Amino acid sequence: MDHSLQSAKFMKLNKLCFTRSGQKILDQIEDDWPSTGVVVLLGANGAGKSTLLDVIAGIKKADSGELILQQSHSKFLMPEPAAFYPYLTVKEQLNFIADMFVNVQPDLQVENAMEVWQLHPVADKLTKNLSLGFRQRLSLAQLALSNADILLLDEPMNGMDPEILSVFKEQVLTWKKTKSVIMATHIMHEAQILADWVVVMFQGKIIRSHAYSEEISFHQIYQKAIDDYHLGHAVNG
Amino acid sequence: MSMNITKKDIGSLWRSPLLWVVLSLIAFIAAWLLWQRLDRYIGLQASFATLPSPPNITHALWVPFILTLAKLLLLIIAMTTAKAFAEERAHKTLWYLLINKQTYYHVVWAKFKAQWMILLFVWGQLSVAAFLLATGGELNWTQSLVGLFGISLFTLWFVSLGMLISSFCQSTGTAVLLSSVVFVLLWVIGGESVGQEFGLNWLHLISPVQHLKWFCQGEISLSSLFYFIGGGIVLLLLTAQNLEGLRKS
Repeated sequence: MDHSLQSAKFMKLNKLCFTRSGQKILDQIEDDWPSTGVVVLLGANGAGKSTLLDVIAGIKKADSGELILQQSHSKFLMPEPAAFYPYLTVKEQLNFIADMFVNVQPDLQVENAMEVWQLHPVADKLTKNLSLGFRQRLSLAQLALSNADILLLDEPMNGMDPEILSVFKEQVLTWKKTKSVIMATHIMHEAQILADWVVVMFQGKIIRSHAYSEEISFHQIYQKAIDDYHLGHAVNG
Repeated sequence: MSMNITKKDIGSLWRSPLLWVVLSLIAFIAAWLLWQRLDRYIGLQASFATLPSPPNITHALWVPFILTLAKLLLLIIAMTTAKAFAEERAHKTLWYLLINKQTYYHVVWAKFKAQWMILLFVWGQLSVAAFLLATGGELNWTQSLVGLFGISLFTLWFVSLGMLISSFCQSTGTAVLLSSVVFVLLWVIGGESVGQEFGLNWLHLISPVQHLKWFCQGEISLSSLFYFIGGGIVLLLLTAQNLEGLRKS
């Protein structure tokens, strides 16, 4: 873990709350995350990981609290499951992303993204007809193309075949040098290879958040965080 | 090649086979009704000759044709506007439009521009009808052009309303159905017989149909212009507001 990451905190989550249908999905989320590197969100289904990503992306608006960034940053999301415009071809879908997010030489960047993610064979295919593998490639190509400062990935490794997973990990290692990659995942053993910061969420709360060192596995961190949380609750009555 | 929101929506609209089927059907029905009316008009020529001021082509054929087309258009508008937001929500692609945005006015405007393509259909239909009628008689071109202007405003007003309804719906089918019901209701309250026992039929004034009828008579009134343009802008602003509200849902 680069120590500069810890000193250059840049994203502050300040008491974020998000309630729907009377249920607290995010409950007073407070934390500081580094400006570059990979932040991994761990948590069971319903812990609030995806909602937190949506709030950071600006797609959902918190009921209270705020997200403080040191300066203006662009964001891009890789949702789960991937969603594309069904009547657009793969190339048109990427052109659409480029039009919204890329200012310099969008055509060239679309070509590069298609090259890196090997999308040329399906360039003229409608996105609704893509196989799962190509949907994942397209989703990752969009992420790369967006050139956003903050990349938000919701379960990015779900169902990835080994070949795409390898390219994905390589790409994340490149991105994390200059960008903030925030990733929600269940696949702990793969994520811990990439992580610089680990966050454990439980029932809409952040119950643990710290820089990650490879000495302890994610599974241990997660289990200890949950145990400590239950213990704390038991002690406090 | 760039692909902005407007181009993306235009592509989405015209790649839908159902839209082509409906457009063909409506073009056929409109042409059939015009032919029937023309046939009847020709058949009554002998009776018209006895009248001091017989109905001309513009009044007897052109105006009813515009009103028929306007009615049929409502179905197309309900279909195309449903795609604007309800389909985005159904396909879970709305986030592309919401991410990194401070305001949603330009998103609504871009989508509104994509809907202008319907006008091409309207203008195409009316141009062919006008050309055919002008070959067989004397068409009042000023009145015809004002009518064309009126139906264009009418179309855009309903597009704005359809987009607003679409932004409230999570599925395309619901949006089409809800828009159709609201559109038909607005048409019905503009009917001649509605509320006539109250003297001035104020319902006419809130129905776009009556304003369209005034345009078809060759009258351009400020109130009608304000109704269509001002009303359209308000509806688009409400759509943007509702889009903002979706972040809280």
